[in-house]
Amino acid sequence: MKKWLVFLLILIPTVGLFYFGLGRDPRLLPSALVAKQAPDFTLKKLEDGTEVTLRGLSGKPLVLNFWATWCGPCAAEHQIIRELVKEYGKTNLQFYSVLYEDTPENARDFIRRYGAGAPILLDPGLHTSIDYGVSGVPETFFINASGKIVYKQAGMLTPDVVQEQLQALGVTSP
Amino acid sequence: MKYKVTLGILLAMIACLLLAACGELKETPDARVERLGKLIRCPVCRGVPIGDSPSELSKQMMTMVNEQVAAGKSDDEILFYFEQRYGEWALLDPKPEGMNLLIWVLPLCFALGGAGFIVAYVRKGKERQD
Repeated sequence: MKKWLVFLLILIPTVGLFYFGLGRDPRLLPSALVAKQAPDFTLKKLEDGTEVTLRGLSGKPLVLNFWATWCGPCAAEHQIIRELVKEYGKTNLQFYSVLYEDTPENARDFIRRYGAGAPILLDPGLHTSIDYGVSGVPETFFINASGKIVYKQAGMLTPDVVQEQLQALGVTSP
Repeated sequence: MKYKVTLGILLAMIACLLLAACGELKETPDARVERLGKLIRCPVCRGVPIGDSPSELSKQMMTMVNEQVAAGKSDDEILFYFEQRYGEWALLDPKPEGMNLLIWVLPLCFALGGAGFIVAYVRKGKERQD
């Protein structure tokens, strides 16, 4: 009887640990920033060098995508972003892509080859990327009109995720 | 004689404590940056602190630590900055609270359980021999 008890005392916590460890979706990486106010930023546009600040974008929902030209999933995601910008361009949704660990030359070359998506912002010292807790690309933050982060997608965007999160932001397709 | 030895040991201990305290006070900004760099986990590596990581992101994080040290921020403020952004996961020395307490409590439980098991096993063996 005692042996069974000892066996169960070892087995139950072990199975529990495996269940919680393996049962989680690795794409759903917890973000410490979700449900918090998005960190402010001041970044220059690749296109013309004009400054863009989060404060200047407040009042409208924002999708902030971190990407790089050397990142395979970012290239695959590019088409989704292009369609998104095209479809929602006339709504109040704002969309910006922040270049992560990459050069403006590479970004310009990428646009020449694959077409422009969202306006690109430069983050040379990675200050904004670190402020947003970015640990790899692509990562996308959905920020509501009052500047709160409502969702973070770690990894490639999918049309389903985009639809779901835009609905949560109150953005409807025109 | 015994009194002199005790006094000598006490003085030596006080001297060591004073030296340790002086060492703490004399920590240079570079040494502080280096120490803090060992306490923050590199987000793109496996269990490596940002101070030891060659990744670009870690290098930039070290630059930010440097800037914050230069700006006069405390250790807690600097660690809190990274914790707020990357979560508690970013701290290589987790706080002893909540589920983290298991890290301290579980080894003690296992040690006590193991000791209890050995004592019970030895006693049983003795009883059988008797």
